[in-house]
Amino acid sequence: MKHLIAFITFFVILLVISCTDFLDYNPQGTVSEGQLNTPETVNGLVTAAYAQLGNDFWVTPHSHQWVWGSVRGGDAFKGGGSVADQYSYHRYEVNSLITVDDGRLNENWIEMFDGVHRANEALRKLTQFTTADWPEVTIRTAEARFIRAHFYFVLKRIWKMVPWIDETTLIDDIKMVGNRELSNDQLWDKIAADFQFGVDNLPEVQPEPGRVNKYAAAAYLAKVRLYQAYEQDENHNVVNINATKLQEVVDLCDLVINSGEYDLHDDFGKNFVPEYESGIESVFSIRYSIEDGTPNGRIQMATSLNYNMLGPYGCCDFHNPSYTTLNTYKTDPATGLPLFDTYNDELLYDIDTWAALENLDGIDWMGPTVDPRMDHSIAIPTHPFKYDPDFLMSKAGRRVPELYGYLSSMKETEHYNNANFKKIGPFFGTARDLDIIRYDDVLLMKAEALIELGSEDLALPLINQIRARAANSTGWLVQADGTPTANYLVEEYEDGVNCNWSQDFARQALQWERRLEFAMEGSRFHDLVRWGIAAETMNAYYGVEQTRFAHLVGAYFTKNRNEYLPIPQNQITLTEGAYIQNVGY
Amino acid sequence: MKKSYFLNLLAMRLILLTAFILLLSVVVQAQNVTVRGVVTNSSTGETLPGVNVLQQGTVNGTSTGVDGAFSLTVPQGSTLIFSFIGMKTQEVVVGSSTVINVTMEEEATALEEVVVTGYSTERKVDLTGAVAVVDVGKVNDIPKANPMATLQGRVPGLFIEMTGRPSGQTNQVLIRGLKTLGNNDPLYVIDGVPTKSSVAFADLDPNSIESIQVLKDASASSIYGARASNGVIIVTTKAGKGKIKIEFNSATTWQKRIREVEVLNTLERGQALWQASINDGRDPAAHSALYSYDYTGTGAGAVLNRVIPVEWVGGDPSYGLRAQIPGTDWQDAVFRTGWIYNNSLTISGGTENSTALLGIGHLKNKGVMEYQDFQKTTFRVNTSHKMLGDKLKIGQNLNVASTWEVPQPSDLGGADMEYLSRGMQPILPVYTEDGEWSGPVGAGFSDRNNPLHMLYIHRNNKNTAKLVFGNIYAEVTPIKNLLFRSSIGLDYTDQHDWWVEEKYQTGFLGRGQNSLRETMGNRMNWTWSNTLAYSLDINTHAFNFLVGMESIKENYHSMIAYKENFALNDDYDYILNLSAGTGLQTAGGTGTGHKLLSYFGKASYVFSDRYLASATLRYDGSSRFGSENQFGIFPAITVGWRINNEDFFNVAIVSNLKLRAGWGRVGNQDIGDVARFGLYRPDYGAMQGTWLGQGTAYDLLGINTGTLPSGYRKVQSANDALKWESTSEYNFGIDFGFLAEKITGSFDYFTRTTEDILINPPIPGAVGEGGNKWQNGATVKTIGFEFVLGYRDRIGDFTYDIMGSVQHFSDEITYLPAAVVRAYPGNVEKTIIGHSQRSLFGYQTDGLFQNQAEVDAHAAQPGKGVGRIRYLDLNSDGKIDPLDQDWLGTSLPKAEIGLNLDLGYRSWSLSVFMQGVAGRKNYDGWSGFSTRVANGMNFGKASLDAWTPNNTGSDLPALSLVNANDEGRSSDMVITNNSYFKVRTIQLSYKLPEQLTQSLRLQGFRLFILGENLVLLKDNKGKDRYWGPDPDTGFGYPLPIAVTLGLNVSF
Repeated sequence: MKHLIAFITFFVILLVISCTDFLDYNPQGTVSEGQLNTPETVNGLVTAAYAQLGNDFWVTPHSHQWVWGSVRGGDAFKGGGSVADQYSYHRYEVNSLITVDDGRLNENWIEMFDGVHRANEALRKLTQFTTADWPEVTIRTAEARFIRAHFYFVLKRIWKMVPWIDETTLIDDIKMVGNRELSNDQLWDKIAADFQFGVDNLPEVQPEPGRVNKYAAAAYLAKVRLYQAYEQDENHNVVNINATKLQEVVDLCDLVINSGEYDLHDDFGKNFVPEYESGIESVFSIRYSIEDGTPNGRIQMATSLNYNMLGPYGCCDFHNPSYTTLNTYKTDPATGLPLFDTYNDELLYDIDTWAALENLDGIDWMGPTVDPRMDHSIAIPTHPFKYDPDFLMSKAGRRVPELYGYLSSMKETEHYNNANFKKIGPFFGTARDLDIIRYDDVLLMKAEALIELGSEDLALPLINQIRARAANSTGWLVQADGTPTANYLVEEYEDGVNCNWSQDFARQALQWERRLEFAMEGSRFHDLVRWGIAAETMNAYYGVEQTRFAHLVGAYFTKNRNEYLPIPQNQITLTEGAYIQNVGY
Repeated sequence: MKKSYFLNLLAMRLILLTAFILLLSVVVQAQNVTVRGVVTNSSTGETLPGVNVLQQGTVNGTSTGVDGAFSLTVPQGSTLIFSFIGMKTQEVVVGSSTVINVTMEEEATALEEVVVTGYSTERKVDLTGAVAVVDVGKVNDIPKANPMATLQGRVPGLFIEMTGRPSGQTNQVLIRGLKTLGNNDPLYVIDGVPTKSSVAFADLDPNSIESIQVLKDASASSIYGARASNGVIIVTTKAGKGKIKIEFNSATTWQKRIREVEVLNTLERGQALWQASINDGRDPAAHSALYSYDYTGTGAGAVLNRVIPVEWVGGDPSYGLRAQIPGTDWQDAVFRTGWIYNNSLTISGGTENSTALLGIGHLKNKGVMEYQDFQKTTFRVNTSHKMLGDKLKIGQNLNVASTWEVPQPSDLGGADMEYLSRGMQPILPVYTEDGEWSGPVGAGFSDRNNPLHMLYIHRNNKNTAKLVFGNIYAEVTPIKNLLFRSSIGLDYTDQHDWWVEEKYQTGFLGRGQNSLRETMGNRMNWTWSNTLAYSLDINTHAFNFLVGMESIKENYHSMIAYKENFALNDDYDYILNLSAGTGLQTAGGTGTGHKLLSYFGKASYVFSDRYLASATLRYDGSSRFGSENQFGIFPAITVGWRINNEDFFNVAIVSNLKLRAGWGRVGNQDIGDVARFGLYRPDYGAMQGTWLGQGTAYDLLGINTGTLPSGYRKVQSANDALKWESTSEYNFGIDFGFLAEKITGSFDYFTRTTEDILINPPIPGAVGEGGNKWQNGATVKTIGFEFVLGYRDRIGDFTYDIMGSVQHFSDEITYLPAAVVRAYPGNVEKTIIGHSQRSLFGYQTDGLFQNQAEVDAHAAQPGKGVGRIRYLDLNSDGKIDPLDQDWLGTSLPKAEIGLNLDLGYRSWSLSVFMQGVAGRKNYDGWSGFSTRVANGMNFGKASLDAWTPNNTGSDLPALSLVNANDEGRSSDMVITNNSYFKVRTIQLSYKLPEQLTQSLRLQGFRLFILGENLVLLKDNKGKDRYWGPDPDTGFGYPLPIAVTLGLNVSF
């Protein structure tokens, strides 16, 4: 019995050694919210917001707009290995197949709102400081608001009606914020207010050049006001063009132009090589880096599918220029001006015969006259790729020509020899910074505003400035023997000489110029919607292009619907109906 | 060279074995005598008719008559074996006497067997919960790297899905189906040490396993509380006993992949492409990079005379890629004949006071895919010592295992080798004309690598793991019937992987930089368990009490280092050292852990061997839960009634009849270690091979390189109220035996509800990253049953034993927070609630459009056309859209059946094991492979049978290059019945007669031949005939057919 008692006692003691702190556990390698209370750590939240600008991948491209602006706008086909390869993008390309429950659309919504979220995380914490504790706190606040406005601009161009979340929204309330609490115009004003804060508070020059400055904010604000000026009704019809907003665009562009900080590169091609990244022409760019302590570099991966199959690349050949886009570069051999009406009647270089040709020597490259920007934007078989006469695009560089033809994208790609180029598995990235707003855009935004204000004569020199630079951008477009790759001819518009510079003509010229200048950069579709001509333009394009390519059979743009993508059904469900679906879906 | 070496080795073994058997067959002749006698039952004294009397090792025998008498002529000195169902077999040596009277004792039947349950043992007859006892003897011979693989279909209630990987990796192990929405893995308790690590089980040498019990219902597993909700698998390893015994087991296996399906050859692929172009209304000649065509006409009138492939792939002979006619068979290139070599040696023995067992095992599996090898070595040491006059027993169990595997590579774009073996184009040779590796070049190819090349350059990659698992325990018995036991258990795993990428360029695919990624991780889990047990018998009342406490501490830490640019690209030993690299380097690591603190108790009561009752209670605290709900209580209660022991129940043929009922509650804490915390994290940049989406570093300085400024991102929101997920389960069972246990069986029915399921629901995108929060939310109900029925008997020397089982379980999600519903299949109108979480959802089809009139008459369906699939407009709104989808079945079977047949005749035994699943469907990637043209890839031969205007009877849609109708969408066209029935094993074994083994001073000698996966039956009707892969493993690594020759010898 004594033993029994002894043992039970021993056992009871064991049970009691429950030491109350045995179950304590602290996570490793992380930071709690309470630790984010110093300028250093909150500065880290601003940095993380910047980082989100370029965090995208080819599934969720938001830095480069190739899916949303270029493929959707008929600049390019989806491309890739088959129609089924990234099928969601095929849906966006043909419009008629878009569904509200498309998974990729949902992922993109989430990824883009993560940018808004990171900016808001920083802004919530920035409010606890005064300039006395942290002299740069207002500048950092302006930067965070700039980033938030950037993401909202990206979101708004795709979905139009999105919920406005800012640092004052309580986190638990976010899912109750609807997408129609603000009107279309009020949403633009919210975005504009963030950029205006930047115009008012950001320095003209930042000691760390990767940070946004006053002029970047001004140019972006001009862009917002330009979109806002084309007032849309509920059904996305452009019903009015707001002159006050247009004047604001002109003034903001002048602020940038007159700053003396920016200019056009002498050669258009300098915008697409790393040696001149974030250079004189770049007003706001997303910064990328390599050999920076990360495994692959913090590089541009949104376009990582868009390399052709030429030897050093080998994947995945997405974002193939349409033959319509190729044709836009034709110029009138007599005047050097675009062939506005007849450009798409027949194929430049008779491309359809390429398939049958063993090599392409039979093609008369020096025949038709073209705008040199063609060879800056499009990889054409036998033409040098990325300005390297020893590295020719070829038929072998095409992945499935039977589906998507013989053209490949070039602006966003990098030459394989460049130190900024990085191969990651089958994909490719570049550490070249990505321009979001360039000086040529500022000039053309101003020109567009002036034309709509009825001052098309003031727009003429701006457009001609762009064309003159284009005409001079032939130095890099040569074959190994030094001869030009194609028969380049671009002339400026001269009122009464080679054209009649009326408002309508100027508008047409402006629209054409944007198409040539920003082809494959993701601007086209957004431009069409802004101008209110998306439906007629896209359906005309489909009508021609589907006779060339089977994948476009059945493609159709439904007016008053396809101007915007549907709010992802998932998001409507997750917010328990806080969002109202876009019209037509 | 290597292969022939192994073949020679095998042949040599065979010759030696045959010679050995012949030698032993030379039996010395002895003088014959006739013996007589009567056999009686020891307990009743009655004579026993029908007893088998057999001269050992021969066919010479007889059986007793109605009076129990026998007579038999045998050589003097031989051994007679007396056997009778229900009685202990007896052996008598024929000496000088010619009269041999035998009394036979009733066998302590399987009912008396003692099984290990939670922290204690119970007589099998007293079990009241749902506990399955695995017949370990039946599976020991099957050479599998993972012993779990051998249990498939053999344990009612245990559902196992296999992969064919050489490591024997399982897809899933479910006890009674799906219980929760997250982790459904069971808890393993090995020699009393609990672990959630399936590796601890996989790394056991099957020869060291004494017993396996599966605690299926909550009443049985509740004593394991917080981690028991997915069931518990209890393993006890062998201990030494008796005189020293040495056992040697050796087996060699030949294995071969079953060819799944035929793919197109070069010309056929050209023909299919041509047909697709014609169907699309395009000019095939102008749109194909690898073929040109001699054909006439268009549309339905098109006639193909000849397919003309290019002569040189890539168009240029300098690539050295001559177009292959009829074409490369990539399946032949990638797969080989595999071999498994399995050897184990066990030395065991024991005295009154000490026991010891030492074991060493080694298995090498050269898998059926080129270069895919696996090796496993195990060491086992189990000892125990009694002292202080039996009052104290100290012992230990230890398993040390080491595994080594060549991981299966993927190609540059992440495609797996299985897929590439089917999908690579036949026109491409394996090697160039110069004997170099080939790769796709030029237009017309997808961005996929030569799979054999990929296997080759990754052949030296390795994943290695070390496991140390065991415990040291002390048992003290201060007074009779009181047992105090304390055990410290250790579960340590160490993983070390090397992944080398070589630099190469084949065709347009290549890697510009070579690299090494070395990953190390270790997990240390300490378990300290203390129990005090007391048993008390008062007349016909038997009581058992147990109280205990347990504390568990687990830590995990990992490091990863990466380096580029190794000068010697093809010298593997050089590259395997990180310091040899001179390029970019990165490092990373993680650490995590958790703790558990538990108290538990159990009381059981048996009255008069008729009425059984037991209750358990466990109180568990976990560091994974918030301060508000850190502890959970898990009770259980069971009752049983052994009807056959009742006086009033006197039915002669019923030898056993027991009713059981139980209820219990168990928990689940599988949510990761830090789920309750709100966390921010620096994320400088993602590691190699992952996507970049989450970094926090940015080049603010604009200098493009160097160390970047970096910040923090939110990764998770806090939830201090997070608590256990709990499962409560009712179980009703009946065990029965008839005709002196000739017929045995059991039936169990259960119903189970899992509530407060731990989920991490999707959040609205507007909330942003890190807004996600672990919550208790969903409810799942499961019902099911298990039925086992066996019959065994003997006819003369012929014994047979048939055992069949059927199990069924079905799960149904009954509640999901609204926010989570969208994470599961369904649409706006139809949600997963009320359906299994493995439900398949999609469109219903109604054949193919045969003509334009049918197309026009159909609802608006984007991409519809003649020869295309017609999707049903379920809601009759005139358009085909997501609302027209419906439920199409589940990917878990409605029933699994197992059937085992053991036949014995003297020294021979034959066993056949069959297993199958019914009522299961799944997405059939193969149908798409057969019917949709894969640009740049190859596809199935069935595509030649697709619909054309001249072949309208086909049920495969017309070929198309553009898939405008989106025919890969989830629909009953691509969801297939993948039920199957397999003869998993057939084993024939021969055991040397005892007198021979004795004369050779052997304890036993046995040879066997074993065939696996020899027969497969599946649905071959309609479109299901196109289902190519083994429905057992789907598109994963295939389960090979295998033949094993094995030897067990002990002395």
